[in-house]
Amino acid sequence: MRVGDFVTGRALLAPDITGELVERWFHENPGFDTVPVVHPDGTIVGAVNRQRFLYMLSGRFGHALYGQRPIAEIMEREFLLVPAECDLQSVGEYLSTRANVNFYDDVIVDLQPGYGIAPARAILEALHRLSDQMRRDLAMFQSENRRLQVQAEARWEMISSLSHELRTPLATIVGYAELAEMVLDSDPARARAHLAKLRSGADELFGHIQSVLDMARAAAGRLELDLERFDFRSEIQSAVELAGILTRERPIQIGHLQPPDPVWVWMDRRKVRQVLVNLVGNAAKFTSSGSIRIALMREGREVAVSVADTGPGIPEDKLKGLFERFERVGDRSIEGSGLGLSIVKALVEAQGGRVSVRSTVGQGSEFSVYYSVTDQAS
Amino acid sequence: MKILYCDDDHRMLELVGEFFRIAGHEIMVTDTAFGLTKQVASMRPDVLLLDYRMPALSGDNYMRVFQSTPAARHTRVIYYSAEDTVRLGELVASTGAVAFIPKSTMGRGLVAEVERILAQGEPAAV
Repeated sequence: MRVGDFVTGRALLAPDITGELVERWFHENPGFDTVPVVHPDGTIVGAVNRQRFLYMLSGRFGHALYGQRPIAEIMEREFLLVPAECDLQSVGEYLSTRANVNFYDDVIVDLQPGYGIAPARAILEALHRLSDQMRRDLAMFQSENRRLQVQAEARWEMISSLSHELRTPLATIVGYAELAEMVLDSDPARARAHLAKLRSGADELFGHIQSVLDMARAAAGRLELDLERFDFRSEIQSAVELAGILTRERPIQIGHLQPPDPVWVWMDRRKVRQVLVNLVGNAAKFTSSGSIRIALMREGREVAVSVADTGPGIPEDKLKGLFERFERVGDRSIEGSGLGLSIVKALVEAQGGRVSVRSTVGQGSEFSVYYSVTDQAS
Repeated sequence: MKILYCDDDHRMLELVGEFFRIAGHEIMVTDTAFGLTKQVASMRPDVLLLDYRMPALSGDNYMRVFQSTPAARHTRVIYYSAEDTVRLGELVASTGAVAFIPKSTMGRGLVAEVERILAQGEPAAV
């Protein structure tokens, strides 16, 4: 077995070398007072001091105790703390200058700068506790960090999307105001027409703000319902008319299906209407040709509404989280992106309902809303 | 000046169209990016005013199609969008558009801004 290697002018011992061989090595190499003990992978695991080592060997039972065993197994040692950035040569130099050194020092790489000596048991226990805790903390921090990054990106996308939704009607308000101003004296009738459109843009903006507030209230569990009794079919009729208006210049067939008899419900009508406006608006926006079908069905105490289109459809991997507020990164090329579906989910759930979507890329999508309803005030 | 304006919002199409016509420019509008390259090739506009957030085919995706179309090379693309301006700046740099105008710029201000951008130099390629 080779007793020592020389690396950068300093001897290195393998940890499984016995005390006898170390003793012989010291005799053959009188210029060395201390040798680092190095694991085959290059890690410094300890250091042996000539003076202390020979003293221990010469004591009673010294040779039997220390000469026959691998040096890494010899007990009564203390631990040397060295900073993480300390290289092998620096450790050797430091060891060779220490006074009253111990027989054998395990070298512990410390993350904090500075040297020091501490009792072995305390260091070991502390080190184990620290490393276990650090591993757990690190894993937790990494996981939490990833989650927060995803959430921050999604929040940013939501704010960006919200800002976009608000800026566009605001731009039209500014535009119609300017147009009205330009023709106010020369063509008052035209100015009035522009002002009517300005009012329409303002109403839309107000609607957006109201929806966002509703969504925030629903998330905080503070959404209030303004219940009234109405025939659900009237809202379906309005949705069909809206679909016709939104798609009037495209080859899109608007179809609807509803029961022949009134479907009396006791619900918040404005919120039902907002849900239908969002679903129909979404279908109209993404369908260039084909059809949009709106259906109302009543089964027992449940009312089901569906809006099906022949738009581009949604890839399967994008369906998950489509209705979530902060979990999804917005992508306007995907049907249902933006805030519309988040608001739909919030408004539907506020009335005890649920939402679902089925979609096939290249064929279209179908969004369904289910309400558990009564036609009586409770 | 010949302008082609693409936006999925019909009121924006009406308004922007009106302001450019009042200013004496020739403008065509379309509510979808599908078929836009064909329109650019036939109309050969000086400026394509392009909304960024459009359903199904967003402005940056369209730009990939646009850049590979030789017939569109004489046309300058300006993003006209309500998108965050930092993102618009990045899009201009990465997609080959010449500028962006935020949608907070409207009416005669918009017309003046497009005229100013167009007056800055010759088209990139003819």
